[in-house]
Parts: sequence; structure tokens; C-alpha cells
Amino acid sequence: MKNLGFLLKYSLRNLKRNPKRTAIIFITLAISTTFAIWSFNVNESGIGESVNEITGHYVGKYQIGHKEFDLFSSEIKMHRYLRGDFELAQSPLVTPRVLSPVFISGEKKTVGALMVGVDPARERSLTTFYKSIAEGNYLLDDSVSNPIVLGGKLANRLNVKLNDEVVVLGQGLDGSVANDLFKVVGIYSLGGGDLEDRLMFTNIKKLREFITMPEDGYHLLVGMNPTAYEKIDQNKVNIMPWEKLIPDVSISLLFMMKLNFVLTLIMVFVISLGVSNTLFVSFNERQKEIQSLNVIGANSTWITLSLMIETFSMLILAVITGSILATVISNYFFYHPIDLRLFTGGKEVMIGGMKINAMVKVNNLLYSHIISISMISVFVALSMIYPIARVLKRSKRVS
Amino acid sequence: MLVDLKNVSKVYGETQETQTHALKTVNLTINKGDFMAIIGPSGSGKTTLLNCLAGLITPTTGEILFKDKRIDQLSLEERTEHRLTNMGFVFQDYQLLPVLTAKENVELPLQLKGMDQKTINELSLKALDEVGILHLKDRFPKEMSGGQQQRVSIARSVVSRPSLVLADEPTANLDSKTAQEVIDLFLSLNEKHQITFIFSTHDQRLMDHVKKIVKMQDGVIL
Repeated sequence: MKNLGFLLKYSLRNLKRNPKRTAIIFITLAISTTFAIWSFNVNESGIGESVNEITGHYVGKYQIGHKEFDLFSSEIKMHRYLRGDFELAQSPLVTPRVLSPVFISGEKKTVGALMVGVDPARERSLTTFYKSIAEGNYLLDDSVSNPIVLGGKLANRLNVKLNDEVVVLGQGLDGSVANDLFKVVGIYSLGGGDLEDRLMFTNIKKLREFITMPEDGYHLLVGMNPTAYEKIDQNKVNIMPWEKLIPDVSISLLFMMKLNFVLTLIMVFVISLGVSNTLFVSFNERQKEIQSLNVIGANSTWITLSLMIETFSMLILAVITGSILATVISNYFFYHPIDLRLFTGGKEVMIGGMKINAMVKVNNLLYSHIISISMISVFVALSMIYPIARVLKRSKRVS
Repeated sequence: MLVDLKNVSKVYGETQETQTHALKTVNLTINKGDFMAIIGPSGSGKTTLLNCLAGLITPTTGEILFKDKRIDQLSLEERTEHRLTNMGFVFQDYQLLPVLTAKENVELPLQLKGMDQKTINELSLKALDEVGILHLKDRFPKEMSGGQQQRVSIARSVVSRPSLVLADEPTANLDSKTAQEVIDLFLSLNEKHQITFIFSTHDQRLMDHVKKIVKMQDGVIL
């Protein structure tokens, strides 16, 4: 377009016509940008941290098993397992596990539970479950040949304590009965969550022996970094992401994310209605001037562009300001984390039966800036359609 | 012949009860260099006639030819382009853009035409000089008197050397001395550049100076 400089000059100077009104729109847009970005930052950071914490604790970001091994089937097909020659097996990015449903007997009671055989060293490098050990250790003592780590709830039900012995009764892969005496070397606590009652751990080597699995066999490979399995043939194995492994947690977190998105969207929509009204008043006051422009020879495109430049220049300044403010605020809350217990009356925050870190560090995420700025820009663009269309229509009316 | 109106009628309103005949079979010829006033009482149809000449409205029936080209059949955007190319406008209340200086206001039609900045500068300064307010070129409208603003408005209307300038009550808001100065300015521009001026006016001072008067009443030229 020719003589864009003149058009820009005219449009930008119009911003100074009513400084108070311009300031109100500018501040409204800047604050809503700040709030939207900060809100996304808090939500994404909180959820991101929770996901890392929950998955990093025990479940992992993904689990890889034999194609026919299904954790959620009524009958766990224990004889469907992977072997050591599977390409990912030795990678430090994953830790192998063997699973076996068993009966465990204490002094006066026998209950059913799932026994998990883990490689303590590799497990420790990938998960944070060892931090949940309330008494004893997480299978670190090699001198104990049949170690077992129980949940606090299960230990209470069985009425056993550290260093007591329990009988474990299970089934070997060949169908035979397996039973052995195990020594309680550790008791873990998950803040009273259900897992405490269902899961117990032993050394993977011991569990293989217990169920007569070959020395290089395992049911699952658990990892935190999904890039690890990108190259493997996904048709040969069953890859279960954390969203499928703990769907209740995944759905809750997804709900929180979507709720935040919808609430922010509603806020931006309401603000855009206000902006639209202010633009309408502002353009309407210049109706006669715009009419004269049309009489002199300014076509609809020129008039529309001038009004759009005026609005968009204000929007650009406002979102830049809002973006900077949101960065400053988010950085502050990164170094001064938000304590979620403020919203739970001081109680611990539990997700999916697990206690999570209540201190949320707010990360300044590019995603939050992009989504917020896009959202506000689209709504402001939509909000000026009616005022511009109306003023243009009326500019062609002759009195 | 610059403009030719043939049997132009304009009817407002859609139903029989609401219809108003603003122009009734008007025939008018305007020649290059004319210095003409359209006069008549309120509601006589002079504003409608001026709007038809400007291409701001289209007649219900009849033809309007500008340099032998029908403008009543042009689209809205084509008529806007036609005004920019061929016409200048002077308004009773000046209608200057308040955020632009005197020079920038005069530049407006040239900028809309997309001319180069060097030519725009030369032409706008020349136009301001012609109307005698070159020294006020950097002032904003609110920093000028009514007479000075009307001079800027006149400079804007003639800067691109249009064939026709339409002026709606150009002296109505001015005191006698300033009005006379503005009338003299119109006369000098008409004589110097052969620009055709059509005024809609009630001002006797202006009527005393025009070369032709078109009287209107009830939508008819008397």
C-alpha cells in the first residue's frame, strides 16, 4: 500500500485523542494478558510438576511389556514376558520389573497382594519411590536373601513389623505352587493411599527365582523419558503411557487444565465485550470525521485499515506489557513457590492416592504466552468487527 | 460541459405514505470554470442536488454525466475514487482532521491518491501559500481560528487541482471580514486555475459574487 506512513501517522495520533479511554483499554488488555499468561503458567507448572512427581514415584511415564501382557486383565498372563535380548532391556533409561500376584501371610492373617520384583539400583536412579520408605531400607541390604518391602497399611493388616518374617504363596510360571519365607526389610508410606495395601516389593532376582522365570526375563520396562522407546518396533510390544496406567489421575489433571482454559476464555470474552463497547463509542464519536474522509475520497479499505492499525497498535503494546509483567510475576513465584495447602486448609495435597509436593514453582512457559496472546488477539480482532462495520456503513449515509 | 444532469429525480422513502420527492426532473448543465450558487429555502432540494453531483447518492431516475461519463451507474467504491480524482469539498464546519497539522490536512487527498512524498510536499506547501497560511502549516486545527481553518479546508479542496469544488455553506460560520476574504480566495482560485465552484449557500455576500445562481424550491429548479 502506498503512503503507509501517512496512514500510520493518522492512526497512531488518533490514540492520543482521548488519552483516558486509550489508557483504560490499554490497561484492561495488559492486565488480562498478564492474568491469562500467569494463570496458564501456574496451571501448567502445577500439573507438570504433579505429573512428574506422580509418574516419577512409581508408575513411570510409560511401561513396556509383552504384547499379550495386560496389567488390567482379570488374569495377569505371567508367562508372557520379555527377555534380556530385547533392545531396550539394558538401557539405563528404563528399569525392569517382574510382577506376581501372591498371598502373603502374617501371624494371623493371609491377604492377596501384588509382589513387584525390582532392580534396586536402577529403580533408584529412575524413580523416587525410595523416598517413601518410612522404616528400614529399599532392598539395599544384599546380605538378606529374601527381602520384602511392605506398605504401612498392609503391614498393619498383617500385624508385622520391620525384621519380621512373612510367608508368601504364589504360582510359578510352569503352574507349580511357589512359597517362601521373606524378611521385612522396609515399610513404605504413601500418606495412607490405597497402594500401601496392595503393593509389596522384593529383589527382581529373587522374584524370578520364586516364579521360575529365566534370569533375563521381566514383565515390564519402566521409564521416564518417552524418547527411549521411539526407535523400537511398537508392534512387537505393548507400550502403556502413564495416562492409561493411572487414568483417574490423568482425567483429573486434564479436567483441571481444561477448566482453567475455559475460565480464561470466558474472562477474555467478557473483556473483549468491554473493549468492543469502548471501541464502538470511540469510533462513533468520530462518525462525522469518518464521513468526511469518505466524501473527500478515502475508500473503505483506507478507513478500515486506519481503525485497525489504531486498535492493533494498542493491542500490541498491551500484550507486550502484559507479557513482560507476567514474566516478572511468574519468575517471582518460581523463587517463592505457591503453597497449595493455602487452598486445602493446611492439609496435604493428594492426587491419585499419593501425596504430592504442595509447593508449586511457577515456570514462565512460552506456551502460556503464545496461547494467551493468540486468544486475546483473536477476541480483540473479533470485537472490532462490529464497531468498524457500523461506522463504515454510517459513513456512507448522507445527511 | 463539465457536468450534465438530465431529468434527475430523487425520491426518499419506500411506501406511498412515506415518500418524499427531494428532486423532481431536474436538468442542469455545469461548465468548466463556472462559479455558481445553488440557493433556496430549507427542504428545497439543494443539499440533495449537491449530494447527487458529488456521487454520494444516486438519483432514483435520470442521468448524471461528468465529462460525458455517467457517474450515477458507478459502484460505491468507484464513486469514492471519482470524488478523489475529480472533486474537492469545502464544508461549513471545515471538517479538518484534528490529529493532523494544517499541512498534513492539505496533503490528505494527495496521500489518498498515493502520490510520492516529494510531490505531495511541493503541492501542499503551494496550496497553503495560495490561501495565505503557509506560516501556519505546522499548526493543528484547534490552534487556528475559524477563518484559518476554512482556508486550510479550501487549500485541501484545490490541492489536487480538481475539476469541480463543491462547497456547502462555506461562509456560514465566519465573520463578515473573514467571509469576504474567503470569497475573494474562491474568486481568485476560480480565475487563476479555472476550477469550477458550486456553492450551496444562504449568504448574500457570496451570492453577490457568483456568476450564476440556481434557485430551487420543492425539488425543482426555478
